[in-house]
Amino acid sequence: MIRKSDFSISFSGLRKIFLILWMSVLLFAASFLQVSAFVNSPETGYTVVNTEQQGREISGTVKDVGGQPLLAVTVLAKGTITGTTTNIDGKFSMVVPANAQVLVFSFIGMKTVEVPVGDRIVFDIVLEEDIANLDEVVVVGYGTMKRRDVIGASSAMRGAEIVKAPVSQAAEAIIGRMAGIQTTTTEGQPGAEIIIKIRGGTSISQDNAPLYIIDGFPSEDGLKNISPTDIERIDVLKDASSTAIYGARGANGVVLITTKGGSEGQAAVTYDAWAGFKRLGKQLEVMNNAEFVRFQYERQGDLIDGPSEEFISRYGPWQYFDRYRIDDNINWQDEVLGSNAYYQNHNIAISGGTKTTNYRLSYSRDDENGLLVTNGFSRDYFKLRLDQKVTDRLKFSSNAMYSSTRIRGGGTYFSSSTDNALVNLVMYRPTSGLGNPDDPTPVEGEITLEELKYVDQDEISGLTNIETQSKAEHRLRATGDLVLNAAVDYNITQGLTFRLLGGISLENYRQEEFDKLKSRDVISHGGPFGFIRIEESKKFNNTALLTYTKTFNDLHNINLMAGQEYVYDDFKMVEASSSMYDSDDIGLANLAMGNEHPKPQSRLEQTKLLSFFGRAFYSFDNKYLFTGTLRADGSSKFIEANRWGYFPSIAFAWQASEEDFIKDLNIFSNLKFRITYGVAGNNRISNNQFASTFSNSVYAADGTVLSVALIPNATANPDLKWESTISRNFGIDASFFESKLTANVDLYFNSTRDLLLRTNIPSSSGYKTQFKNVGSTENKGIELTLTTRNITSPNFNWNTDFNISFFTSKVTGLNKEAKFTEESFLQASGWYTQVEDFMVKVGEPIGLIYGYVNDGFYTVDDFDYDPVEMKYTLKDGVPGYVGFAHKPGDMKFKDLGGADNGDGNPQITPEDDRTIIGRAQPKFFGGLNNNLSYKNFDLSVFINFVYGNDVLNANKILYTSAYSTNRNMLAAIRGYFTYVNDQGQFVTDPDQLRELNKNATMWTPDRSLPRWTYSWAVEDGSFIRINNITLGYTLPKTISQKLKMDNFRIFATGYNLFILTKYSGFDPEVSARRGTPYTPGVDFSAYPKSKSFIAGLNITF
Amino acid sequence: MKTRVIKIIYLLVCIFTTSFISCEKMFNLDTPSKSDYSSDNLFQTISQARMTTYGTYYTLTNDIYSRTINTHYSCDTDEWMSQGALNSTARRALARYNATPYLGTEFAKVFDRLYAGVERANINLDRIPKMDLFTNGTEAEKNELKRFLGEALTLRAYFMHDLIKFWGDMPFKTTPSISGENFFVDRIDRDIIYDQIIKDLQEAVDLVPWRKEVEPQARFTKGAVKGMLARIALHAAGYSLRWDLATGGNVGMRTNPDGEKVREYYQIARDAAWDIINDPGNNHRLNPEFIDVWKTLCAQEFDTEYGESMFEIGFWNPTGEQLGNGYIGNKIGVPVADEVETAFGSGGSETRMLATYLYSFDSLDVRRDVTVAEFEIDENGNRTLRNRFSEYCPGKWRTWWATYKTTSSYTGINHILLRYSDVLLMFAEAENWLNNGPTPDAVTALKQVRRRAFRGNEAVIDAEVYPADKDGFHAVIMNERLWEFGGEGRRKWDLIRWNKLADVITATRAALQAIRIDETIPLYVYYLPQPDVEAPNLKVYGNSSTIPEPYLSQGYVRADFRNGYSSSTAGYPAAGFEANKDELFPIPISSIQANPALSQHPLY
Repeated sequence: MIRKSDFSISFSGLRKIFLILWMSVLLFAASFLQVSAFVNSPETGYTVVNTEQQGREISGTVKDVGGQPLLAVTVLAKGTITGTTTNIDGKFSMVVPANAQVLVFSFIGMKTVEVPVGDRIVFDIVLEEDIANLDEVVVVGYGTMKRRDVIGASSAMRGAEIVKAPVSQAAEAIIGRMAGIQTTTTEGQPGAEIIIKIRGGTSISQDNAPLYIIDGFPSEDGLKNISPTDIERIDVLKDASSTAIYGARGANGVVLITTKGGSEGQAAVTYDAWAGFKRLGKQLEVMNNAEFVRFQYERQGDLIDGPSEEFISRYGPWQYFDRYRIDDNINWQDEVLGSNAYYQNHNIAISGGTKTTNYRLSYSRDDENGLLVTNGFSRDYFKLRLDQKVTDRLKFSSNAMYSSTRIRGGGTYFSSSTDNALVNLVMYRPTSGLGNPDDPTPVEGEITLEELKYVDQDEISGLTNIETQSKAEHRLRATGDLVLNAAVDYNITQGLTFRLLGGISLENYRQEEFDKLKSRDVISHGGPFGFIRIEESKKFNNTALLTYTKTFNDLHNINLMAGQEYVYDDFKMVEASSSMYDSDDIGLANLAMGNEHPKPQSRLEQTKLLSFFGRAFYSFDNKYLFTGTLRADGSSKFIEANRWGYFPSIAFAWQASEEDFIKDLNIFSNLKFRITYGVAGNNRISNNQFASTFSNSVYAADGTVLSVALIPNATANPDLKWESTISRNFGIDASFFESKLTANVDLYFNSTRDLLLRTNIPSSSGYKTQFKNVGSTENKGIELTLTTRNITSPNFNWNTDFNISFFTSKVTGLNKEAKFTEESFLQASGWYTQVEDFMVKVGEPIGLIYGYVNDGFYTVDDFDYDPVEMKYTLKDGVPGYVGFAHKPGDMKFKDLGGADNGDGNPQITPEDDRTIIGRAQPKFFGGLNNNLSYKNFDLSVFINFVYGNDVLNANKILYTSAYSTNRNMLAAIRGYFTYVNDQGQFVTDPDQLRELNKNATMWTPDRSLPRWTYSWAVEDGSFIRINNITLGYTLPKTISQKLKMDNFRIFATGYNLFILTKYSGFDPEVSARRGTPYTPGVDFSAYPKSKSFIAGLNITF
Repeated sequence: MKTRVIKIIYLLVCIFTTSFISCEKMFNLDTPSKSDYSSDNLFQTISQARMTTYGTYYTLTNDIYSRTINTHYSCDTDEWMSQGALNSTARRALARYNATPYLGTEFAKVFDRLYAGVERANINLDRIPKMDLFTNGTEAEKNELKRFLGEALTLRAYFMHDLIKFWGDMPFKTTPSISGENFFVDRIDRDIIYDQIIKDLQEAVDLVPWRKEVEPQARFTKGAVKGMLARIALHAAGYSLRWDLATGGNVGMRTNPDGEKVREYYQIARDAAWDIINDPGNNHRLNPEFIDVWKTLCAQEFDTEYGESMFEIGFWNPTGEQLGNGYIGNKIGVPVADEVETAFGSGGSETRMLATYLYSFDSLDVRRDVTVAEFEIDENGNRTLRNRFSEYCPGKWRTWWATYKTTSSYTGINHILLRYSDVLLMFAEAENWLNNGPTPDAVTALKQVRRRAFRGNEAVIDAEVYPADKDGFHAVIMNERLWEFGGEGRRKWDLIRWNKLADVITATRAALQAIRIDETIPLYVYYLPQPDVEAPNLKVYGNSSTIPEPYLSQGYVRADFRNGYSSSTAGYPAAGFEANKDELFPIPISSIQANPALSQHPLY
């Protein structure tokens, strides 16, 4: 074990430099603060406190082209810092200094207007929308920039878009909206995880989630704990020139969220609400009762002694099978998932302010039910944003946010992969049987059709009634999140500002599980049992920034920023459980009521990150732009010698449209070329991987006493260091025809080296895996965003946004040792058995589905028949699965070569005959949004699409296996190879069997649990989805104002209305096996997705 | 206004000052592990060393020694078979000698776990002697640490011995793994490993106390270490599947080519066993009642009186959770209907005792009805007969004998790895080999085992005369071990070291087909369900599918006996066996993939 002191010498030099740097920043800042606070330096002329005595009062209204008043438009007297913003009616008033020449009206997304002041007192201004507004302020790392100055690749989305077609999770709002951002809604359960990957992600074995920054503060939970209606805008930084400033955590991209704040003026109250319902989008077709009974008849075996007495007394003799009528079918998907699930959402916000104080207070409440009874999601959310201008130089802003989320119900996944709601739903028998008309005495324990719907467990199939099961299982995941942060901005001198941010986030997570008497697990445990897990995580974050901007000679712009940041995470967990309760009623309220108590558990984890960073921006004549950044990150996850990672970036842009020869072309309203290069880092591994740690286990050395035993976790790897991603980006931004068409194209090439990979090591070392900096990956892609203003007129507007992203990624290296280069490894997705069905391979992307290739089924002609023994044996030359005695109708795999079985006959073996049968990575994906408005109506139609990915529909394998009696199967098995003829006789004779199955299309269902993954279950996951259509109507101002409202809009939205796909499962957008990133795109027991319809209103008072 | 500004400035100054103070703290980016020990703060105290020792023992628990190793790995011999058909699961493929490298985690976990155990032992062997208390502690402290050392040596030897049993020549390391070390190592000649671990065991013998000197625990004591020494020495001396490591050629069943070495191993085995038998402290003796060995075990009590159970793996865990727990009685035991699990425990079995094994017992041998359970517990808590003599279960482990019953699959019942009767029979075997024929001591040892087996009829044994030649007496020993250790997972490995596995499998498969069509064996058995589960069922046999009178009116129930025993079912045991190949398993593919330097079994 390497001790700390061994490295202290080499480190202390570095430490001193940083210490001095940090101290000087603080001293510099503090001294300036003191000096300038007390000395009201008259030379600058910018610290005017009492403007009232020197100017005169003006007022006015700002509206858009459509005549709607605009809120929060900045009105500034040019050359001064005197300014204000418009109120909800678009009105403003202010006192301008006597020397003011020009008023500047600016608003995000609108063209800025400058108006000479002259003697005017009243200003009624109309602002035009500007799609490619170069003066738009965009959020970049630790600051803002004008879009004109941005060189890195980024995408943005405005909050207004979100309000139009509301969603309950903020992550849903960005699905398909921005180029390069891939979203996967993993399943249909309320509150289900939405995976967001930017440019494909870089890591193989670790989390690929981007870094989320909400109002300058990092948030681990990403978009989960922010109400969508509170979002002002979302900016996504994609290439290293913009993310390298975040160093450590920027490698997977950065998502910056700006929340809404208040603005000067009368208090405005907005109320947004909607309510609606969800319905199951699609059902899986299963065999009907007649088909079910017929198969159960056949499943009994060779029928030499005829069907069993039990079978006949339940389902009747063969000659009565035609009495099974489809009307008597129980459709379990209808029964359990068929009803409407209602949901509603209310948001109320009050905002306003004075010249010095702005505030916004919002509250939102979500209630969402799942398709499965007891499943649901609810959230209460409060947020207060307060901005206070203390002096003209000193600004104080703060954000307080509390959210409480509750996800109820266990969903479709039970305790293990072999036992989930869908198995119990799809395979539940559609009939209880009509009984035997010849002998109507019911068998013992027999039940009627109606009774079958209400039994807790179907004795004969061993399956559970999902409704009973869901009600018997209490499952709750409750999160309480309190985030407090504050920032002080101090304008030290002209162009030089100091910003200090501090934040605390406290998250409490509580997970509850209680299995009541009727729960199936109680049967195996012997009594009700319960479990509580409480997690408490605290995060402290502290940032100091010094920014300097200056323009020389109207040609040279510089912007320098230096900063320091410290992030400290503290995680605590406690877990307790109790089993063998005698009764249900007390439950989790008192764990001591259970008779048996497994050991309670607790953990404490801490991580620290200390960083220093700087950025320099220079532009010449707004034509040539340069940015360089450097960040140093020190992470507690590495030993001192490897602790610091340095992440630089450089970027260059050419604003060609500023050149006269381009201007003369009169084509481009904007043309810009960008080229960037940078390095970002990643340290997403668990703590203390560099050390040799021992975790606790037990050994019953003393007979009936359990003693603690210690076992080593892993071989220490003190050599662990930062993983780094080099990204290169080339981009073009162009606007044509007065910005009627705007196009952004980005090409990128990312390569990651020193990948932090949990890699297999020879287990003769005592350990199976070890974290190492081995391996490398590459991502390449093209992203295109097009925005067109198709029609602009006072009454009718039509805009289109289109984005598409092509990307390929590949693993370029895996584990490498002096004597060993790993080319590939297999991974089990664990959808059913531990069969390894995914492959990670050098030269290929992640998500290779691996298995056998189907080749239909064996026909009678593949066999020699021995009429005496009535036995079929495979003909010479016909490949069979190793160790199997095949018979006609068995599923057949393609023989891909390799070993024979010793006598020259080909053989199907796991080693030679499995291959890559699918690729989960899409070729491209994107979205198309059309916004139309006609007079007071607005319509938006949003379509998103994914193309070229495969999905492993593992449901299909399990639900077409006849591994247990009295279980139904998917209709996909219809046309199976049968041994029972029309008279109900079991046929073995080759000629009869051949004749009987001349139209067979499927194999005989396998009577074992699934044991293979094969290509039949791999399906094209491409889709085009009408994600949502919204129709809104805004009351004319004249009417709404009579109703004492400033704005009143009603709308209706339909989500997931239509999907065009070849996929046969519930929904091709699925990823149910997420234990490791190796196994994306598996559909197994995923919660079915729904269509939903809502109606709502937006009101402003 | 002014005062407010000053206040705020004062506040800011405070913030700055506090950040200053915490600056040093901020630069300290170490976050040492708080919830886990790390190697820095471990091996400071006796109790820490005890915890890591228990961690090495933990290797033996769930679920490799409670299920996989002692059932499927050790299955399909002349005593028993894995339940079910051919090779539809990894477990059956292993038992039926149909193993392939691709059997998945069920197969690979044994390989991985045993080496994890070797590593745990190696850490202790490295760190404990470096502890301050090891040289400067009190006598008691030093002795305690020495005991841990002895246990680490013994456990490592046992893990390596199992690895050799399953895979032959294997990688072997005696130092803890460190980063940067070359883990890509090939097999090492098993004779070199045996030499080392036998030396280790001889060293360990002197480090651990006798059973009676310490509290009863599921840990190795001196007698058990000596017993393991004897067992491992006999394996080192015996046959195993070997090939030329360099070429992969010349595959065959052979012993250590050095004849002197073989003799030395027999001598070591004999002496170690004799030390236990001749121990003046009387630490280990036979329990006079064979069934009591199992009742005590299942009652979750230590055998404090006789010490026949010389080493048990501790599986007790009252929660029914899997951690450190075992499946004894559940995967290897007598089935219990779900409805009565609360009263009878969660009995069940994944293995079946063979009909030929049942019939090989002498009718006076009390071990037969303990070892082979022809019955199960039905939903009314009655003892009822199982259908068909091919479906009988191992009877030594019965969950209703447990003091702490559980309805989970994990039973909290220990597993015995070494019994005193094994020591007696090992002694007799080695003595016979060394002296080219049985000595009086060898005969006495054998008779001790047989007298207990014929309890109540000891005179029969006293009158027994055994062959005086080496091979003849050895044959007697081989049979005795079959009857004594039925279901205990010894048989397959005994047969291999005697090079008898192929013969025995051929004979057993033929015998099973023969009794299937043996018309002298009745088709049905009619019996009375028995409310007292400890008492045998009243039964009569016949060929009629209807229960004859007067039994029918007395409440007799019918079960299949020979009826329905098909040729395919009778063909299941060891169906895939190939001599000179299946005496060792292939190396799991995951291990080969992670270590290409490791050579595969040449016939795979």
